Amino acid sequence: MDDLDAQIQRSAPHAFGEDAEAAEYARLVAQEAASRARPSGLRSRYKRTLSILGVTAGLFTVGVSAAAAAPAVLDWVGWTPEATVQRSFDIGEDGAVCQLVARVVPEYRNISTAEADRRTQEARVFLTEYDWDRVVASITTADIDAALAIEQARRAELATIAEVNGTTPPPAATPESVAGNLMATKIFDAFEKAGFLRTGTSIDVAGDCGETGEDAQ
Amino acid sequence: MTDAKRRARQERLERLHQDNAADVLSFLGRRVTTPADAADALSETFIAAWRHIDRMPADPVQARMWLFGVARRVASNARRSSDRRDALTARLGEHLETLQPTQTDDTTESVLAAISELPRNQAELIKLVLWDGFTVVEAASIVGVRESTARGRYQRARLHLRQLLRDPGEQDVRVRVPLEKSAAHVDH
Repeated sequence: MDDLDAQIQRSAPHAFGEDAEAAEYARLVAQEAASRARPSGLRSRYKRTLSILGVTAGLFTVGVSAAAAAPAVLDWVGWTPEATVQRSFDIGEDGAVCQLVARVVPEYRNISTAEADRRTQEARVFLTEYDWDRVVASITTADIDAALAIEQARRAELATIAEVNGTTPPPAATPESVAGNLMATKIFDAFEKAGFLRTGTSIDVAGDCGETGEDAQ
Repeated sequence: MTDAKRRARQERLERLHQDNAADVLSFLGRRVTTPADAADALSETFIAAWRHIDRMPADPVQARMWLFGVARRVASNARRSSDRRDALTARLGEHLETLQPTQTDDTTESVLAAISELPRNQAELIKLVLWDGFTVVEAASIVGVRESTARGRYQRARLHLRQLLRDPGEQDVRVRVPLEKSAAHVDH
């Protein structure tokens, strides 16, 4: 280890797990996850539903080369996407490619299992059939520039607050991160506008932006 | 899989969660924006691990790396939901809000700014090794790349950081370094 390593180690944000009470809470959260995940009547129905829908929904790909890109995205994201959206942007030195994957998952809180499953199925059909290619195609370089300016201003404010509070400032915004967030926001907004983001369902979106070639993993 | 084997696997996952809950919380707290997000992400991580229990490696060390890999993916996901935080997770989030934040100085801020300028996959390796205490080999397993790839990235990241953190008054000497060859000598 040299001075550089030591400097980087000293820059690490606070480790929440070193606080005894937080660590105990974390273990309780683990216990709760286990109690929810262990086989029960509710859980069994949930798993059966997912299995059936997984077969019928398949993998939906949009955009140039999306089908070829999908396996890498699948490997990276850790869950099975129900929609894949890809878009290239003329930003940065060499341009950037953003890949987003999405899925709809049921949430069984404050709603009956049957109704959550019904709503999830409706939302899943919307996710797999909607023209996401057109949705993300509407993002322009001007949109990215504008969003980047807003995000940079927002993070500058947060950095000022962090300085006053002695906390860790947020990382810098980049055109790539903004482009990926714009794509995700477009997808979220379309869901909300269509009325599918409601009690009983939620949507997961994950993605990677701006990395190509060997380093893109 | 027989019921007995399934139960044994479930018990292994429960132990894995219990043994690593605090470390996973620290890991997530360094990758999300707010303490409440860390609490949410912790719950999401455990639930995601249960969903993918069939992918949990049998080897305990590999299982631990797998769990952090799950946490890393959860931290990088964006989620919007109508009602997802349960009472326990909310209480954890509230408690985390009360903890004293790390005090920063100019040097710390310079280091954090430099890390944020790295390509994301290089920054993640730096954090895994120097913040979270994993070896480069373990970090490679968590991010799902070959060991040689991780070593090369890690070495490139350190070179970048050294350049970014260099004293501005220092003479600008550019040296071409054979990255992969030097990476082979990194010891972790």
